[in-house]
Amino acid sequence: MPRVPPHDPQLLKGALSLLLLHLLAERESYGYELVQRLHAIGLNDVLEGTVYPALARVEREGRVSARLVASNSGPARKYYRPTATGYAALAEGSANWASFVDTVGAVLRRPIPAEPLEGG
Amino acid sequence: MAPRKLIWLDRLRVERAVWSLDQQLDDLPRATRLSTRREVRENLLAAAHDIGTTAALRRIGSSRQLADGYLTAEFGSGPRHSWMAAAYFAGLVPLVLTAALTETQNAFRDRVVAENATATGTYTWDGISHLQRSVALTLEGGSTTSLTGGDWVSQPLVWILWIVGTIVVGRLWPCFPPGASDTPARSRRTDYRPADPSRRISRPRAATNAAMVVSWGLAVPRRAARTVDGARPARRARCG
Repeated sequence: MPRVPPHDPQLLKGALSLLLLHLLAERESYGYELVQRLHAIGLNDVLEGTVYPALARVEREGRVSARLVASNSGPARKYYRPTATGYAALAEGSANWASFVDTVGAVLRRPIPAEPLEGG
Repeated sequence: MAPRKLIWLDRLRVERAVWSLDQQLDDLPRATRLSTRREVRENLLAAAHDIGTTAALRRIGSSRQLADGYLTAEFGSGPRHSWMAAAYFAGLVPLVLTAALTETQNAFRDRVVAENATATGTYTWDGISHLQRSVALTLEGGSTTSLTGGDWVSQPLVWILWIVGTIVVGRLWPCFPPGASDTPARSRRTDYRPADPSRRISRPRAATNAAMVVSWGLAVPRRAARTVDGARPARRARCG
């Protein structure tokens, strides 16, 4: 797994719901499994204590639904998947994210002069 | 990697963490609280099987922060109601008030006896205006034979202040009608896109908080907050 430098927690917090929706759209998962999948894509600094309340929030907002599935190793697991609202939010969120990245990236890709130009 | 075997001590540690979290979720609706407890326990056990109990407990963080995350998820950020705070206020105020007013009764008696150590007869005092019923003290040779009144129970102002204080301290006003159960939580405001996002970005707080800008990526127009068949998702009461 590639070693990724730590991410800005504020940026991560903002993008977490979008990531969760996308991962759940790919495959139905339960809380800890989602954390493992986030780690697998390089987001090692995302902790369980952040992911579980974020899942509760998107469920509260009606963007994911949950069902209990019996587990061999203990109590039943709560598996999540996006609802129709969740898919709509994911599509719109992805478009907004791409637009945001384009806008910010366009500025950050500009060459930086040795000295700032003088104002006035 | 083969899953680790959990011994009773591991399960005890997990249960302790779940219990500790549960103690701080008093204000969640009962069903949500039960479901949260069950889910956290299950996730902790899965993590403990995978990375060990110590690491699983470390990664989930403090129960206080986790509880705060769940409460924010349910009620939105910012100040929220607290039944516990309301209960403490409602329980403690009568005790404190009774103790304080008993002291004023005693002070009245002490003053009368200090002026005349062999006083005999009935002495009255109006008490603290609007807080206390008048006090009647009967003495015989400086000894108290009866001390009546002085309580707050018959004072309407005290009851009003007590009830209003309980509501204010517990921030309980969203819990009462009209429309208590269908008032959307503050977090639901993110469901509604601003008419002109650029105006929001121009606010200093939004401009300095990239997360807010990014989180708009998930904003859904109000009309989209419906299921495929056009029904709105069920709303929950704001209060537990």
